[in-house]
Amino acid sequence: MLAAIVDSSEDAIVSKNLDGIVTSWNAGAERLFGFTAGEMVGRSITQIIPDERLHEEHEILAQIRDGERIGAFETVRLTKNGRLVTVSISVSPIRNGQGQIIGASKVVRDITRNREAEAALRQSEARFAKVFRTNPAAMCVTTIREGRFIEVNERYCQMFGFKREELIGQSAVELRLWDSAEERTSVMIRLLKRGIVRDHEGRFRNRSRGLLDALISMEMVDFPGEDERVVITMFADITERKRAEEEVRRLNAELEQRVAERTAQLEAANADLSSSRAELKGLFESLPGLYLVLTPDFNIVAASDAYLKATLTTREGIIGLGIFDAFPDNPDEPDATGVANLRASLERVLQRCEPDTMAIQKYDVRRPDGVFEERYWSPINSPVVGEERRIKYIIHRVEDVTEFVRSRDAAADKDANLSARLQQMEAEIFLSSQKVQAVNQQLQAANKELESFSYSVSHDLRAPLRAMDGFSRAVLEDFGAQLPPDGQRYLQIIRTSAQRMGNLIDDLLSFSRLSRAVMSWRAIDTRVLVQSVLDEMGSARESRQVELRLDDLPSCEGDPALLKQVWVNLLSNAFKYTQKRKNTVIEIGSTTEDGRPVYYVRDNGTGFDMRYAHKLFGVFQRLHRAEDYDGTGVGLAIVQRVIHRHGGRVWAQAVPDQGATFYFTLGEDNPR
Amino acid sequence: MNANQIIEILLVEDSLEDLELTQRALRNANLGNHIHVVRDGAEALDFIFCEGDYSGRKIEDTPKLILLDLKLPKVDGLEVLERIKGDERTKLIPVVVLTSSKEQADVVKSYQLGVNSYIVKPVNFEGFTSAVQDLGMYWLLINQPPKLEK
Repeated sequence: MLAAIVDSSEDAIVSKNLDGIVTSWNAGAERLFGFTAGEMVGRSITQIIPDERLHEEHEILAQIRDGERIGAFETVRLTKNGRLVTVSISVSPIRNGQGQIIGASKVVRDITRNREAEAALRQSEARFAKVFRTNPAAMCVTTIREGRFIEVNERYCQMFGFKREELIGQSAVELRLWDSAEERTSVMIRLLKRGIVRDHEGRFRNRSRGLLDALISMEMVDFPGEDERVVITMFADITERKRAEEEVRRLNAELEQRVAERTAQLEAANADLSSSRAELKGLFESLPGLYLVLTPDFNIVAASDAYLKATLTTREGIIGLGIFDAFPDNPDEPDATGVANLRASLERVLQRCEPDTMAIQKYDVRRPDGVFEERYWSPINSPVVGEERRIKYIIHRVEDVTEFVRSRDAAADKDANLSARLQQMEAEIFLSSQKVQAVNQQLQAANKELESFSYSVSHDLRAPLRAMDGFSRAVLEDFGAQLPPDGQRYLQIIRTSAQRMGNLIDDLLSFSRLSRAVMSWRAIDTRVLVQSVLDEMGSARESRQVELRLDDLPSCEGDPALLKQVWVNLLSNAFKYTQKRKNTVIEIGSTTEDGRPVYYVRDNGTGFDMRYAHKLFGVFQRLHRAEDYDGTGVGLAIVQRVIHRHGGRVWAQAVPDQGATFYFTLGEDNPR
Repeated sequence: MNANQIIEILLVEDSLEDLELTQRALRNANLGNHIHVVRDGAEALDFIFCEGDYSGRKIEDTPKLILLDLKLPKVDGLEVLERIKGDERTKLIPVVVLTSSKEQADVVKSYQLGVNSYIVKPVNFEGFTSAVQDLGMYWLLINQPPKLEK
């Protein structure tokens, strides 16, 4: 059994006698030295000892003989194929049954491999150290309890601003490298509990007490040469990142602050606006006048308190309503005109975009109990024009004149009170204005009627005359040869009369048109106007010997077409009534009267008797027989109508058979 | 031969006297052969647009000239004018308004509606006759109306 143990041992176990001859050689020895037991037993052990180590054998044998044991010593031995192996050898003496030393047993262990492993270890340690030193992450190795530095790397020194020598052996706690001691304690407790801490965001101080933010990871490890376990800590410097984050946070906060400030400003402005709006609204509502504000489709948007009071309404009761829904006609008065007249006035405001004053208007108001009360109003409706000349609102302003109207009768004999009389007069004025309005409407209707009347006159009265003239002519043309001279002459008279009546109708119509025509007021160069009339009349005086004296004429203002008609009529008359003169002299000129120009046309014609001057300007009035001078008697009537419409005057001076002068002025009165 | 095809002048006139005088004037100018007379605005429209009594006519057979009185029973002359000038098929027919009316409003309105000429019938018939004859000549013989289809 002993032999089996010896054989299976990894180590080489060899025995020899005191002469150095091998007596046993186990399997381990065969493996180590390459010699078999057969090759070595009975031979000298020196075979495996290099020459320079042979002295060891003598010393070993001498010690063994002395009974001494030799502890493991390192030496070198030779294998069968000549390779040197490093071995550790221990030798013990072998004794016989009597205790005599008869030889020695050796245990040889191959330590070549141990050596290599040690070298490898040293190399890897060196590599690790290098990795540790040059690691781009800051690293340190410290004791757990006091945080004493065992090792630090270059980056760590750089980060904290210390030299390595200044740190080794010092305590991180004493150097106050943690910003907060409490934080270190809590981190260390976590580390002790779990053995590891990952990505803790810690805050540190460098040598100059500057703040450092770092993401740290810690682990507890065994460290060569240290009794207790140590802590390896790795730092990722996140100071810059933290500063950037801080900056972002600061900017965000600033932004929020600004937003908050701006919001506050806007809110303040809004508050101002709404308070000033409220102020305006309050101001409007407390105006002493009676005001209503309407949209262009006549909905009520605002009312003054005075208005509400006067109309027995409330703001809630009428705002948002159409004005005619809020204020209907009194149903007990079928003839009430309030709604119709007010609507017409509002429509006029929309159309013309200018204020419209209504005549005094009866427009009863409804009490809250539904009973209508009699009221008279004097309303003015004015547009409020917004952008693009569009009407935004209509302001309906009224005055309650009910008392005035009522006092008209009541105050008749109580005239002691002046103000009562004034009120009475005002009431009269209001009533008159109402009457004027009514008359105006009648006038407009009459004008319309007149228009359609003259239209049918011009059509229907002329048609039979045309037939008389036309068929008379047809008779003359077709049967003229068969008629005696008197018959032909009579037909000619029929024709002349018909044509004359046609002319009368035409003149009458143009005369009546004059009063209806709308005047267009312009500045007129009178001399140019007169010259153009004379040019147009040129053909009428071609065969005549006429001396024309045309002075400079002051310019004027008026309707060019109408004034031209005046000059045409006056000048035609001048030519007409001088046609029997051999030497006609016609003078056109002007004088002044009260600083105003007086125009005149003078002729040396047949003149007239001043006793009949008053008839001169009447329609169809003639001072001469038709066979002497033709004409319808409308020309001067037209002249007078035009001059009057220009606010002027026209008159004449004449001596029979010596000539006549016609004078006129313009714009003496207020022109209209 | 279809008599409708040779209508040259459509005369729209309600007054018998004016009608006869106008026809006489046209006849004297040798323009009296192919005149069709209608007596009110409604009949004028029926003729021009081939409706009612004239539904057998073809609208393409337009008269070469329309002489139109303004004051007409039923449908007045301005309305007839508006219909003629407002329809693509008939708007190229020359229309001459012959009327007693000197009313400026009628003249302006007629020209706005596209009338080709406007004559106020004077009481003095010579003027009227020569005006009608000149116009008839002009529109029938001299003026070539543009064709509808090119």
